[in-house]
Amino acid sequence: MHRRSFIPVSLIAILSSASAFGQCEADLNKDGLVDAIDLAEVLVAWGQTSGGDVNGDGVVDGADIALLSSAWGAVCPIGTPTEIKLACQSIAVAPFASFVQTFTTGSTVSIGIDPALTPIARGASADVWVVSNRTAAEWAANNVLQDVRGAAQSITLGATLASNVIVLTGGTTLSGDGNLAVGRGYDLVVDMNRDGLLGGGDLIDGGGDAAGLWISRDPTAAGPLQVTTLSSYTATGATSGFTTSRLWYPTNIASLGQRPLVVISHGNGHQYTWYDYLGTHLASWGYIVISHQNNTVPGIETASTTTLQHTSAIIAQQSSVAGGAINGRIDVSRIGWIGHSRGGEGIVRAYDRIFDNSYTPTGYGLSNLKFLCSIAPTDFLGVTSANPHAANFMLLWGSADGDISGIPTNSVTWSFDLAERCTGFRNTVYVHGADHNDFNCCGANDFQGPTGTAIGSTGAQAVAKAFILAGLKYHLESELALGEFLWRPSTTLRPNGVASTTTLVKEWVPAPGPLVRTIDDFQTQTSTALSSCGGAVTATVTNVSEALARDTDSTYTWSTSNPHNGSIRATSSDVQRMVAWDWAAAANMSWALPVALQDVSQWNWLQLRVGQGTRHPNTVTLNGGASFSVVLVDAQGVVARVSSAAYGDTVNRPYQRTGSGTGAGWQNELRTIRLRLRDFKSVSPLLNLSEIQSVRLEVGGTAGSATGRFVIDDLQFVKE
Amino acid sequence: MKRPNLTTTVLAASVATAMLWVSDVVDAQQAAQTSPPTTVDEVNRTPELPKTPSARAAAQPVLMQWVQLTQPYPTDFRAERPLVRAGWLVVIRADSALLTPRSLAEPLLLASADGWTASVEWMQHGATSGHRVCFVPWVDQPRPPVGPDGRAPTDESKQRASLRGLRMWFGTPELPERVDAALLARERALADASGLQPLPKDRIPTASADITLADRSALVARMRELATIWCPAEVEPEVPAGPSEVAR
Repeated sequence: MHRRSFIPVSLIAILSSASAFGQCEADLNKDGLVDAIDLAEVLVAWGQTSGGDVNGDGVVDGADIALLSSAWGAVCPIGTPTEIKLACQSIAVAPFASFVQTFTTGSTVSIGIDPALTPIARGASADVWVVSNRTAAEWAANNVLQDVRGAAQSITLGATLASNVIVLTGGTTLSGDGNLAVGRGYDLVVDMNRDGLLGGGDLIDGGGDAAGLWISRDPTAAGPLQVTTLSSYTATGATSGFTTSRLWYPTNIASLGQRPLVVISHGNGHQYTWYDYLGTHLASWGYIVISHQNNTVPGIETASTTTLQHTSAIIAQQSSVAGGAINGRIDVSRIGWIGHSRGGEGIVRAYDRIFDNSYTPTGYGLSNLKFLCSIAPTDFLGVTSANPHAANFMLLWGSADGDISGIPTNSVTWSFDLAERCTGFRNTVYVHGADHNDFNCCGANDFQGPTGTAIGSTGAQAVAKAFILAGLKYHLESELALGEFLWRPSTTLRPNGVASTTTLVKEWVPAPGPLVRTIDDFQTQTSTALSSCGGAVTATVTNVSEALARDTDSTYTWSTSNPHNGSIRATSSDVQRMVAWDWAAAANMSWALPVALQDVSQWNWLQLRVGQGTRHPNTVTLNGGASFSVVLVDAQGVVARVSSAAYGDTVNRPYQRTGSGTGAGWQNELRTIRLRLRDFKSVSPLLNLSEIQSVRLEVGGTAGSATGRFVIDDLQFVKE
Repeated sequence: MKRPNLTTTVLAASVATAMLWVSDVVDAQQAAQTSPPTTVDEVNRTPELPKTPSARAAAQPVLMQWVQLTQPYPTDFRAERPLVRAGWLVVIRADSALLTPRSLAEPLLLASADGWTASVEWMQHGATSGHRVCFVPWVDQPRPPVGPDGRAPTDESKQRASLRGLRMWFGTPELPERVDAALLARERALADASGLQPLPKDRIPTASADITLADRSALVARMRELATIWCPAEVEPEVPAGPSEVAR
């Protein structure tokens, strides 16, 4: 097999082409020749608006045949491969494929090819190659395909996506060994002309620098490195009585170069020695980790001070601590803080103090703090002083927390306040069955939940290990594929060490910016008839309320006078608003898009946060997961409908905890649901993503659950 | 819970500071006979918090010692962060429900006597043993402090805060770092209203010999020494140790 340089060949082809402008539009499959394959494309798509539209006039008809005939036999430039998402999981209903990037080791990996998006594939035979991830530059330098499985996989494609979801042979044996990376990346190539080269007409998933497919090892399992523990050292400059800290680092740190620093700040009545499980785990994946004495008794300000002091101290003392083993090995530009309970608020307060210029730490600054993770934090200080601002912020919270419990009468226990204040990237993991002290080794048993639902410290710590590691790898080391753990439902992506029976409810909210186009955040337009992007909002659902995300009556008992019952995400000083509504028959809420926002052809996702309204009569009646459909309507009136349940999960029933009034169910549990925009094209090939006029959520009837009540926020288009 | 034998404390008060250690050990051993400290793991459930302030929410001092500091420090247990130059080192005994760690606001630990009210400092909670090591900072001096005899001492360096009318109690749950003078006054009034009475003279342990410590670090070290005796299960290890390989 010969090797040829990709870009130069394309250039040569362009320069040597004798074809006139326009003729090569007929080379539909971009294989360099206008021939019978192209004619077949036109015939298959006859009468449609795409797929064989040679002249681009929006209809496949005789004019296209004429143009193709005139160009018959023309030699055309060999185009570049088509970059398109291929890796997927098979799903039972339309769109029949869930296009994802991350798979755990041993799981089934499929590829999906939609002829509506890649007409070249319709009815074709091709070879599928699984190639070790290459950067764009590496692909340009070497387009010879080499399959890690030993040989390419021959496939024959049908006319629909449903018939083109194909299990990768050997997919379950793909290695996830990425050394310090939790997973290993691969690129997928569908070699249409079966020449063993990546070239024009081929399809690739991973043609850029990032991998198309990611096989992840179990993030709950220990990493590849041996760990050394320094059971205690004294931090110079820390508050008297709180100078002791524990250190974990990879034993072979000398050979690793600089590694990120992680600081663990415990809660009140806890001890710095209670997080060995986490320190050891993170160090085995390459982090330098400390857990320090935390001055939590006086309050949050003092706790934040010890976090700030100990972070400075380990940086300043690296030449002497542990005999100098970590000297020069701390990458100060990548620091993560983890705090539990009062310590969880303490790290946010510490960040806030630097942000406000009321504290200037030695040895690092705000830009070095790449990740904050609060486990069941308190909220003593409120919006002005406990605010993560634009930090990358993760919140872990156990639904059976009997301490920072989320009771509606005490906003100190409203951990989600902190996440809602974050204006950076934020994600939350609501862990069913975990209590406050399950996240350390030795605290009192504070479980408050239904009998039989406790997951214990083993279960909770598996979650903490997996998700904190994922957050650190994502934010500190740009291991972006691990981000999928942070939002995908456990039914489709679960760390192997987390029990399949453990319910995890996840939110994923990207930071505002060029990669986010918000349809409605329910903040800037207070009218229920107008979205924050300026479009009209109409609804046939009932009891619509757009208001502060705050339970106002100190009880979780449902009351019509408290429409945001169960929302404990905003104190009276906060501004976080959401919408809530219910239904008992087919109904919808629809957002019209202003013209300037209608072209979403270059966007990847439509997403929203949604949860069931706790203890509402409809929720009680439903007594299970809720589903809905999302509908896009384009300027031609083409409708594309995708069910939220298509991807294998529903909006879960609230954890059935009792107390704080009558009934069962605790705070409203919001989760992010993301739908790929291409999926709408798959279910309705005529849909024009360049002119989407409205987005509609449908419930009841055939669209989803017969009854229910939803709390919703942040309806957005998002780019990858 | 049975009180420690105060005889030993009385004896200790009559000897040098070094002897206090012996007294501590004996008291702690006796306390342990009736209520052996348990590990934190054995605390199965967080008890309900009793009403505070209330008569039940009183704390009983079992050991007291006046401490003078050469180097003052700002206390973290007051919003104004006033400088502390002296104070009473105290070991108290109280209902474990009041001593149990809570992430939410815990009852403020307060002390007052004729002419003063203080937000008491502490480190270990003491829930497992029923004893807490505290420091009553001497920061607000509305009038010249007086000695044990009720008269102002002539040597100001040896002034001690009066213990006449001493009360120690658990007040409204709040973060100590947010306690200011106005809140202290309110808490004192609430204690009065709740019927909290001054300790009878025979319930106030005889003070051990005064000591002078260099600074807050020395004070913390002293408190830690006492904590290893009175609430050992909650003392975090601090002794530096060498690196050790651990199994992954």
